[in-house]
Amino acid sequence: MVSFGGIAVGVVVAGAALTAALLVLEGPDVDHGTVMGAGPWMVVAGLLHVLGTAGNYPQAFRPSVALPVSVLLVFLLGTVVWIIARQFAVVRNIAPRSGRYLAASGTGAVAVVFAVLLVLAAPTPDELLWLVTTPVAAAVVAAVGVLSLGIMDPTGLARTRWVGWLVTFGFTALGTTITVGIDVFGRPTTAATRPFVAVGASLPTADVAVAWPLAFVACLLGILMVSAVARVIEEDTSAGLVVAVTLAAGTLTPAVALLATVTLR
Amino acid sequence: MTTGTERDDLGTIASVVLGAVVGLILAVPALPRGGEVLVAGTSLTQAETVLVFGALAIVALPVVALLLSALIE
Repeated sequence: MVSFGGIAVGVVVAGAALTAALLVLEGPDVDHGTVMGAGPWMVVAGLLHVLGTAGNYPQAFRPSVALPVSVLLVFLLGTVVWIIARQFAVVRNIAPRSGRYLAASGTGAVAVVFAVLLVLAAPTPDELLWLVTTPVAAAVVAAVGVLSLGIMDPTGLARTRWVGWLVTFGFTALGTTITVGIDVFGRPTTAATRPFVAVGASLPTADVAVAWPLAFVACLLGILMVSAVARVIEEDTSAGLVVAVTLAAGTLTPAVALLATVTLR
Repeated sequence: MTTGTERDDLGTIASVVLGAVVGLILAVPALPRGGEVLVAGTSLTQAETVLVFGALAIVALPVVALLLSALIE
């Protein structure tokens, strides 16, 4: 017998598939700003996952807010809000500003979901500090990484611009979060992270941190992905932006979920 | 036919509020039931909690929206 939770997940998956199909049919104008605007919604998906495990959702709804279903749920809701905002612009005889509406609505959603999570978790000042500084550090490292791509592949940087930073930020944020989890919060290593920790332990910086090579490699991987995205954008801009938003969501959302899980214990 | 514009503050603010409403719908069910949320030492029921977060969103988020308007595009 199918549980209510299973039915809810099915509805979310079907709704997301229908939304994707409608987007393909309608073909709204999508540009670099649209991809950037999706960023806050990726954060919402990650925070929902944490709320699902830490919060008091009825049991039947928990599978719908857990990763990876939360990404589909947020994609569904974010697209609906985006379409409404675009239509609101059209009825006022204004050319829709895709990226701005998506970013603004995502920011509104993030503010509320994050506030609820903080109320539930009641973090200590130390936890709050790492919760804030980790993404800031990742953002700076990602910016340096993307700018260095401009030296090796200036055309790639010109084609991806801020989208390139977002993709690199997603990878770097995931690596940095794992690093903070191991070095600051004493999370156990896994088979995937152990080689990086072994390298870090053999370096003169081992007294300070041992897992940072992981963040470094994650940033490099992000830069390589941006270079690949630039090639796709050269062939087909829309396809390249879809690849970029998929890569960003695939890394940034779990990074947010992991960061909140690690810091808000 | 639509006309282009550099800014759309009303649309941006409406988007923020709409997003906040979606956030409330998603997050409020996660709050503890039975008035366990404390504000200034007073426990709130779930309905009061929704009102507090809603009021905060309405007051604070347009400010964020205006900042976004200046930053994005």
